[in-house]
Amino acid sequence: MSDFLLHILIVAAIYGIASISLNLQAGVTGLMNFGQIAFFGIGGYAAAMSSQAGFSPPVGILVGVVVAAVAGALVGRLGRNLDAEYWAIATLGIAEIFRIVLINEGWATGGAGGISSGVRLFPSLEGRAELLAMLALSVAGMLVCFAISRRLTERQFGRMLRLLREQPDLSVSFGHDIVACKVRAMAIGAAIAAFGGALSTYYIAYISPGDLLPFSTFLIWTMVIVGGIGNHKGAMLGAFVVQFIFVGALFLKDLLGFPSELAGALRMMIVGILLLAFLMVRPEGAIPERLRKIDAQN
Amino acid sequence: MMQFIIDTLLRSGDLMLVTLGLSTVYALVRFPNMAQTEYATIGAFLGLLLAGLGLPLWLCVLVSALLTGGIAVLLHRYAFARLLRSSPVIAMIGSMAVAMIIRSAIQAVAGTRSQRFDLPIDVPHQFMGAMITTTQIVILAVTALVIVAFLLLLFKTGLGRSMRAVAAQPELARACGISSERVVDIIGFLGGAFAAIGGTLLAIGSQVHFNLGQDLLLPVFAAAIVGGLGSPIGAILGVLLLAFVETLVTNLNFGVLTGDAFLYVPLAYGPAAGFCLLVITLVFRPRGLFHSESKRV
Repeated sequence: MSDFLLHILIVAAIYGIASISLNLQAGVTGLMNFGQIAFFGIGGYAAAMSSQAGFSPPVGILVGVVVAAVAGALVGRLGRNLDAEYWAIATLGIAEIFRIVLINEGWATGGAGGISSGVRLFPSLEGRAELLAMLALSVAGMLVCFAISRRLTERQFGRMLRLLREQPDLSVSFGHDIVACKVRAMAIGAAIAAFGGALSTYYIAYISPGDLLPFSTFLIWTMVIVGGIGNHKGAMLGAFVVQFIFVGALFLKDLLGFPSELAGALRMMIVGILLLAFLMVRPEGAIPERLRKIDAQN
Repeated sequence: MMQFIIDTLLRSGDLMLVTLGLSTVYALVRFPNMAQTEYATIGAFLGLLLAGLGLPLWLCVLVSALLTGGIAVLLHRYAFARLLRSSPVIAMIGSMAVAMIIRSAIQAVAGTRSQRFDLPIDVPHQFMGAMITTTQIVILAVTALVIVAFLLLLFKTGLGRSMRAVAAQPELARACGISSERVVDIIGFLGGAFAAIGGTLLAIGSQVHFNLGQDLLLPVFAAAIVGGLGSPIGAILGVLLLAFVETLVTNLNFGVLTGDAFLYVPLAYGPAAGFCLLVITLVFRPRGLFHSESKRV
């Protein structure tokens, strides 16, 4: 296996974590979060800043996850009364505020130039071995996030979230605390996204506000939709599919003899067409959500 | 003081027509079309293309508005109307995909460099101690003219009445014999045309690049939501309020609060102030300032 393929797989697994987190909020709970990349960024910046301050990766990851969970809970609490479209724009706005603050508070964040994390996750390993270890870690991380999400949504909690998505009024009439459900779904999703962001920063050893543009959120959305909205396995599948198409666009560019400055445009166009095609032809995605039928007699 | 008012008006002018189009279209189709700001980019680049062919400026604006309006209608019929059958949320995500496709197509065709109309350099006038150029005056005048014409159409004609009827009660309007498809087409056309005029005016006043739509997306949605999505009057007031807050925050001397001689918020925080206005508004008025469920038409 070439180093390049290993790199693609590592990035895909990290995207898979982000995709699982968005699927938990948007797919299962129906919260249209268009600012997911901000939570990913909280994890990434927590990792970079804590490693600059001399803390080890586990501390950095923990800080990122906790801060993101609190931020997610706050956003869920603030937006508790919002309809889907208002929620989408509000989260987009919050993510942009976060990015503008990162750019302008250069004393803490490195400004528009970004910030590097000087810490390596596997200081004793070199070259190929380090990449393999990173791949094992990111895939294991993704599977752990998958297991957590699945466990959570197969219990009563998951049923409450889905009911909240489908029939919010019925949910209230059952006496469910829907604000608490939204807050918890946002907090857990944000924490998972931050974990992915921290892994990404430790792997690439760098993060900048340029990584947190709204386009990145749209990319995660494409993964969730393509894989199958509401399905955790689909979210992971979507991340790998979109990542491979994203990389494939690079090769396509060389094949067609496109100039490199058009690579970005070509990638964006392919992602846009993929997303639109799925929405129009197969909105339920590659692996549709499976809702278990519950026998009303028992 | 005068400069402050002019700055606010100029910023409003940048956002006004796109926001008005977005909010009016939302009233009928009930999903926020995230490709709406890309229509401004399409319009601006069509205008630049026509100017390159040697057309006079006013004709460039007009033709680009007509073409963009047509594109908006076609996109609605063949993409968004189909997606709306699934759900408004699917349509919204689909509009995001359409926006990505439009943006990348414009980038591929027009390149990444900023472009502007080839206009003579304008000497600013002194007006009550403030500076404003003739071009800027014309841009504000055209914007105001379009708004007045649209409000007259909306509130003084039979067509406007049917539009408001479909917006308020689609089923009842249909039962009264109003063809909602026709109304949606006309409003979709106007929304695209308004965005194109707004985008072309932006290109005339300063310059445009392929990312214009993305740069406009949040301020335009913030203004539309603060005013209440679906309310044309709300959109106009929302834009003015947003422009006022953005200009105020970057012009106020906060030194009085901290005891320093000068303490200004960095210019880059101007947009952030607008988004904060959005979030604060939504906390207290989850559907914007001027939202009302149903009204008499």
